[in-house]
Amino acid sequence: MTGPILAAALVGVGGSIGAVARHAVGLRIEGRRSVVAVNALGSLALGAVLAAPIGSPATLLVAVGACGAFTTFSSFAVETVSTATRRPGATGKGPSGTYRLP
Amino acid sequence: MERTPFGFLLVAAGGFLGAVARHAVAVAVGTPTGAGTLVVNAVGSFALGLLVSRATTTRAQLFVGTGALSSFTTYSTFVGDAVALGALAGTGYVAASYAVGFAAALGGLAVGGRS
Repeated sequence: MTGPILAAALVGVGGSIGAVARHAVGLRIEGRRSVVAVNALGSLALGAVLAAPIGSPATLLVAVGACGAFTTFSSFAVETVSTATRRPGATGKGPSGTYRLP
Repeated sequence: MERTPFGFLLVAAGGFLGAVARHAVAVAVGTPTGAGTLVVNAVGSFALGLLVSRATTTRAQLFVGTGALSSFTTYSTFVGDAVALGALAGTGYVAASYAVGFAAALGGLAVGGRS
């Protein structure tokens, strides 16, 4: 059994890796398409990891940490509502126009 | 800044904090399946809506937005939870998550004066 401190550390390290990987994808693919790409890829990876017979520490590191942080719901939600509520004649820039998502 | 080593360091540090916070919420909320994920996705979507409206520096966007809030919320666990719930409950869970998440993002943008 993994203790709570070690569990948090594993999730945190995995989270750092997932966030950096997502940022790297975001630098190469613009806006909404990068959110769709990381969410699809990360969900596929999570399914594969959960189906594999790996132990609790590896699940915390890869599934909860890395896959959890690589994918993002907040960027997806903000992108979607920004696009949906954009006024006609606006600059055409959602959040991704002013800062890179995810 | 976005492509510099320091930029990546900010994202990594934010990602560490966001993922640990998400895990802490999941442990605190516990059952039923998906409850913790729904909470973090709603709270994180509101906060990100607020951030993109208000944050002026690239450092803040990278550390808080790309790093912490985007890692605090998650899509993969959300999908995993939906599948684990089965067809009927899973469909309801997806609908509820989208409704709550979009409303929260809209609320964050509105409070931030962006939408």
